[in-house]
Amino acid sequence: MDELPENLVWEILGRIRKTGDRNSVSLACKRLYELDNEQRISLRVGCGLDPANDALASLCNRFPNLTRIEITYSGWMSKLGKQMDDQGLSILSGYCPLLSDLTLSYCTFITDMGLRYLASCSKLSALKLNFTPRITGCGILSLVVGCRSLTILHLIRCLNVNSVEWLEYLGKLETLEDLSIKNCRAIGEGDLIKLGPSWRKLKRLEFEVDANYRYMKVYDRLAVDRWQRQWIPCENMQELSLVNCIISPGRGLACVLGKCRNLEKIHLDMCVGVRDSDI
Amino acid sequence: MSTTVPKKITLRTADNHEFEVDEAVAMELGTVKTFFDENPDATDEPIPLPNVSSKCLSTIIEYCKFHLSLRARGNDSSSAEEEGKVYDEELIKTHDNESLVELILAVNYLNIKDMLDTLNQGVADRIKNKSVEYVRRFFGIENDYTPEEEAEIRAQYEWAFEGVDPDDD
Repeated sequence: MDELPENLVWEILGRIRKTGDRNSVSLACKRLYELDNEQRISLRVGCGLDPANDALASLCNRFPNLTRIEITYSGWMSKLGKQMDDQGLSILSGYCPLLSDLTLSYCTFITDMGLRYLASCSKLSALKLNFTPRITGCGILSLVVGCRSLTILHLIRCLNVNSVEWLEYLGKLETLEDLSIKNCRAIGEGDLIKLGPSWRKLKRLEFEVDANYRYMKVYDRLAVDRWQRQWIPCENMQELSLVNCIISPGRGLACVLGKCRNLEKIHLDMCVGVRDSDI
Repeated sequence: MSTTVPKKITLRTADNHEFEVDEAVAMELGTVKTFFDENPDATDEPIPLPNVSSKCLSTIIEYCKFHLSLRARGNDSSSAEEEGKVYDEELIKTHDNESLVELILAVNYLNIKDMLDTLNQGVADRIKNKSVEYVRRFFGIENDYTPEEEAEIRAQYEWAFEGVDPDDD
């Protein structure tokens, strides 16, 4: 390898994406180790982190250019050691200045406090939370206020995200392009009106209601009626997926359907109340 | 000068072989093109390429001719693209590790971006799904870790990536 100049080694190494391969390469010698540290932009970790916060800090310290991090505790049991908590999110925001894409799955110990730490990640453009039951609407609000470049937000089974001020805030920012809300029991179809001017920007919307909870919700009738008066063009919408939604004929989400002139993909599953004329 | 006969350019390799090629082919070599751009009045003297062997240069000329002809076909791009890919794969396959590295150095010196990309990808593909020892052999590198250092990094990989699904690709 001594004959290969640095830029060529860099080029070749940059084409190796899989974590296992990168791990092997970095073990070959110290020069490749240093190169790998610089080049590693994505990290996917989970149950193996123990003690979680220290381990995370040493990884983030070693790889200063991480842009994409996924932490997933699927299959976690308490005997595997404590999960990462808010302190871990504080480490991410402190050690990873380039972080732009963060996914947290089954991180059951993180709270709104942790999201407040993340609010200082100025480059964060995509956040996906999958089953983070301690997070509430307040946490999401502090995050969206801080992370002004957020364009992708996915909330899946975030059971306690109840208030929707954050949705209203995002609506006014007009930066969001991809919103997914799935099985978040406290967010109803009617809440989506809060997106206001951001409907214009949105390219992808996925909204799925937990089938077991859809009939229990109390609808804010006034809010649903407001949809008709609010002119919401959705000319950027390319992909729309609605599952288990109750749609009042001619009102609420029914008004949106007719306004997506550039739609490429639509997925309606178990949606009650959609009429042909709405589409 | 007649316009029907394409202008020829002579290239001289490190082992003193001369190659006469069409101007269009020579212009694929970034280093040669830059030379002519900077010296428009250059004579017909052969251009010395002190870092390139005749074996590498003939492979490179073949590659440039083939890809030039593909580009000339233009609009039926999907089949041309497919043929280009097959050609590139074959090129990688017919070189062992050592000659691939030699070819990369020559292409890097001659500054042919597409070909360099292809070759770099070929090398990267060869060290995928391989052991640390293979990577060391491939690049001919000595292990400069102490056993303790190596054990420490291996341990980090074990705890860090344990229990996480493998990458998608």
